Amino acid sequence: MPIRYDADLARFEAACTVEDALPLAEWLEATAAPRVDLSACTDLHTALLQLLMAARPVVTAGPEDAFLGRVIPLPPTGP
Amino acid sequence: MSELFDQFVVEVQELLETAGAALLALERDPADRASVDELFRAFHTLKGASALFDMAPFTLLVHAGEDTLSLLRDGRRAMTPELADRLFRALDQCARWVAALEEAGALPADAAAAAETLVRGMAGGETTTDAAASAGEADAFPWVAALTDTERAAVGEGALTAIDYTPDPECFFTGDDPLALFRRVPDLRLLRVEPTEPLPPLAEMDPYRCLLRFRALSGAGVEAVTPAFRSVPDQVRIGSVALAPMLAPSAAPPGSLAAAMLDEQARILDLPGNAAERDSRRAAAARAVAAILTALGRATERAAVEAACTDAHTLRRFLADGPAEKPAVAEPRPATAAPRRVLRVEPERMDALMALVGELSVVKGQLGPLVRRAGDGEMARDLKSFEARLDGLVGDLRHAALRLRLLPLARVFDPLPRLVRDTARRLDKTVELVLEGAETEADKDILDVLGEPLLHLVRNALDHGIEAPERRAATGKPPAGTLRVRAFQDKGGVVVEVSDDGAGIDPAAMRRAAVAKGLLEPDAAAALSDDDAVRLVFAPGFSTADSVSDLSGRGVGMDAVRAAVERAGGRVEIASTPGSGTRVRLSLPLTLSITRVVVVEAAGSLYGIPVALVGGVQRVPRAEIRGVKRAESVVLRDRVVPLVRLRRLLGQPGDERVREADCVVLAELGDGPVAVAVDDVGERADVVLRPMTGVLRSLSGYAGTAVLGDGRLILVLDLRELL
Amino acid sequence: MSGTNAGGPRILVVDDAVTVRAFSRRVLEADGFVVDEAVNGIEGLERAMATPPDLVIVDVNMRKMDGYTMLRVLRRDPGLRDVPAIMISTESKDSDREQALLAGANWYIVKPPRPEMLVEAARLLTGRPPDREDAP
Repeated sequence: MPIRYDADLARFEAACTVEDALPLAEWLEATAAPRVDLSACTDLHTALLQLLMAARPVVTAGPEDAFLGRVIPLPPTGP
Repeated sequence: MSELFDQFVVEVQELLETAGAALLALERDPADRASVDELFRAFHTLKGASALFDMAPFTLLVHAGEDTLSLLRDGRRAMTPELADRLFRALDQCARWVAALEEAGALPADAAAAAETLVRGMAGGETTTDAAASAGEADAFPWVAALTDTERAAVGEGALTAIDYTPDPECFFTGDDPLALFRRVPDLRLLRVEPTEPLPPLAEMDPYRCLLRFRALSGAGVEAVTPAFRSVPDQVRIGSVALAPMLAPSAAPPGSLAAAMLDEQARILDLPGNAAERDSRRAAAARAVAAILTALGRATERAAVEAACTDAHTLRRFLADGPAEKPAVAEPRPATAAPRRVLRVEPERMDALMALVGELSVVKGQLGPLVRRAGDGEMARDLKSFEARLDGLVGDLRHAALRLRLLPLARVFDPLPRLVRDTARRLDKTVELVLEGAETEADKDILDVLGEPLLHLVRNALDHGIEAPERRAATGKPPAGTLRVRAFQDKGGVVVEVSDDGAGIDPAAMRRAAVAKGLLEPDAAAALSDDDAVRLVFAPGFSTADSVSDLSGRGVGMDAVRAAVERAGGRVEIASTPGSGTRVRLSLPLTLSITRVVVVEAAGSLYGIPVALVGGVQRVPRAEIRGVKRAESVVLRDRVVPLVRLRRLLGQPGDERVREADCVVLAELGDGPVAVAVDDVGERADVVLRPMTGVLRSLSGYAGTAVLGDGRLILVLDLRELL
Repeated sequence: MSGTNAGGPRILVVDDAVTVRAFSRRVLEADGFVVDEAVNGIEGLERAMATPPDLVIVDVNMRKMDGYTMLRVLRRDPGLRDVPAIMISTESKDSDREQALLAGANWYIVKPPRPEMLVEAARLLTGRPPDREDAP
C-alpha cells in the first residue's frame, strides 16, 4: 500500500505508481486541508506529482530520496 | 535611427559592389584566395550591419551567403557558374531590398519567402552548415538565459546540456513516467517541472492526462544525456548551451554583467600562452578588474588588484572576500583630439558653392578695367599686384571647388564587369573585359551623363560587335573576344573609348541600309566616304543589326548615345575596320558647370565655342576655299569640309575687309566636321555657363551666356542648333 | 577614477563596417564617451598609439589586419598592453569567444550588440559608475 490515507494526512511510502493517481485525486478533492508526508517515498509517478502541484497540499515532510528531494518544486513548509 | 540607416544604405551599396567585383574575379579564377576572402568579408560585414536593423530576411540571406563562402574558402565546396549565378542573385536581391528600404522604409512583404528560396538555392542540397545549426541551438533554449539566481548558483557555469521535454499528454496510458526518465540523467543540475498551461481545479482535472513539461540542465555531454530519452525522441529536445559563470555576491550582483565580466577576467588569467602573452593579459585583466570595481563604487587600490591577478583562483577569492575600501588614485587623461570624419556634402550646397565661385570670377574680372584706368602711379602698381594675387587665389579657389565635384570614373566602370559577364553568358560568347583608367576623374554631372551611353555601347559591342566563338575560330581569331574600355584625360576633358575586336562595321552594308531605310538617296550614299558611312550608326532611326536583339537593338540606339553626349557638350567618334573591330570614342568636358570655350570674334562681338567640339583652329588662305554658288568648302586634313561663316549664321553683314586668309575653327559635330569661319580667334577660357533667360531664351543657337575673366560678356554658341 | 575630465573616457571603435561604427559612436557618445574610429587593425593601432584610449572595441573580421592580430600587437605594446579590450563578432560559438580572449580581449560581445549592453560594458571597463549624476 504505497499511499496510506489517515484523515487529512497522506503518507507516501516506497514507489508510488500511476495506480495511486485516481485514489489520490479523490482524496485531495475530498479533504478540506490535505497534508502529505513524502519522507518515505522512494519514487513518485509523474501523475502523482501533477496532482500535488495542482492541489498544493501542505508538505509535512519532504522526501528523503535525493532525486525527489532536489526536483520536487513543492516548498517543504510545516503546518 | 534614420541617419544611421542612411549610412547603412551607403555602406551596403559599397559592400554589394565589392562583393560583385570579387565574385566576378572568383568565377574567372576559382583559386583566387584574395577574392574568396574579399567576398566572405563583404557578406560577413553585411550580416553584421544588417543585424542592427529589423530586416531578418536580409540578414538570413547574407548569413547563408557567408556560410556558402566559408565552405568555398575551406575547399569544401567548389565554385561553379551555377553557384556564381546564385550568389549574384543573392547580391541582386540585397540591392533591390536596400532600394525598397530606402523608398518604403521596409522590406517587401515577400522578403522572407524570397530569402528562403535564395538560401535554399545557395545551400544547393547540402546539409545544414555548422553556423546555422549552432545559431539554432542558441535560440532553442531561451529559458536557460532566464534562470533565477538560485538556479544559476545551483547549475554552475560553462558548457551544459539542456533538456526540453514536453511529454505527450496521453503518455501515462502507454506506461511512460516522464519524471522517472530524469533519474537516468547523469550530473543533473536543475530540473524544472512546470504545467504547460495553468492547471485546472482538481475537480476538473483528468489525473491520467499529462499537463507538465520538464526543463533540465545537466553537466554531462549531450551524448551522455540522450540515452535516457531514447523512448521519447519526438517529445524531447536536447542540446548544448553555454552558461556565463556566476560570481560571488560580494563583488557584484550575481547574474549581472559586472559579475560575468569579473569572472571572465579570472578565466583570462588561466588561459594558456607564453610568458609574455600571459603577462600582458594579466596586465589588461588587472586594469579591467580595477575599472569594473571602480564602476561598481568599490574602487580598489591598483596594486592590490594586480597582486590578486596571478591566477583565476586567487582573483576569485580576492573578489569574493570583498575588496579594500581605499579608492584608486585618479590618473589625469590628456585632452582628446577631434576624431577624423569623412564629410558628406549635399549636392545643392556644392552647386551653391560653384555658383558663388562663378560670381567671384566675374566680379574679379571687373577689377581689370579699373586697374587699367588707374594709370601708372604707385597706387596703380599696388593695385596691379593686388589684382595678380586675387587672380591667383580665385583661380585656385575655382580649381579647388571644381575638384570637390570630381569623382573617379570607376563609378561608371563598376557595373560593367557584371554586365559583360551576364550578357556574354546569355549570348554564349566568351568575352574578356579590359578596363583601363578607372581612376580618371570627372565631374559628377559628367559621370551621370556618361553612365547610360557607356552601358549601351558595351551591350552593343557584345551583341553586334563580338562574334560567337565558332565564327571567331573560323576567321582565325581567338575564341574569346576582347572588349576594352579605356578612360583618360584629354585637353581639359575626359575621354572614354569602347573598343572591341569583333566583326567591325561594313561601310557598304551601311550605305545599303541607309538607302533601304530611306535615309539617303542612292547617289548621296555612294558619295559617302567609308568613315562617314560608318558614322551613319549615329543617325536617328538607324540600326545595324538585321534583327532586333533583346539586348541592345530596342529603344535607345546609337543616336541616343550621341544625343546624350552632345547635350553635355561632348562628342562621339567612331572608327571601324571590317573584320577586326570597332572603336567608339566619347569625349566629354570635365564638368558641366564650367565649360571651356574658344573665344571667337565676329562682327565686333565675342562668342564662345565649346572646346570639346573644336578639332582645330587654323588660317586658311582664301584661295583654298572653294565656292559653289553660296556654299563654300575647304579641304582640311584630307577631307572636304563644308565651310560656314559665323557672320552669316548670325545674320550679320559680311566682312568687307579684304583678307588673304580666313580664321577657321574646325567643329567636330556628330554627323561630320564643319569649318566655321570667324573674324578672329582669341584665347581659350573656362567659363561658368548661364542658361539664357528672359527674352533671350527664345533665341536658338545659343547654349548660354558667360562672363570672361576680364568681365566681358560672351554668347556661347550651340553650333548644332545654329547649323 | 580615470577619465572623468572633459570629454569622458575615450573609446576606440575598430570595425570595417561604417554602420557598426556609426551605431557604436551614437550609442556611446550619447552616454558621454569620446569615440574614435578606425576601419582596420592597422589603423586601429595607429590611432591607439597616437592617443591611447581607455577602451578598445574591436571587430574580428577586417581587411588588412583583423581584430585578433590587432589585439595581439596591442598587448605587446608597452604603452597599450593593459588597455581593456572588447571583441565584437557575429559569431556566438564558444570557440570564437575563446579565440578572442586568447588574443587579448577582456570581454566578448556577439553582434549586434544591444545598445544598453554596449554602454554598460563600456562603463564597467572604463571604471565609470552606472549613473554619473548619482556617483559620489
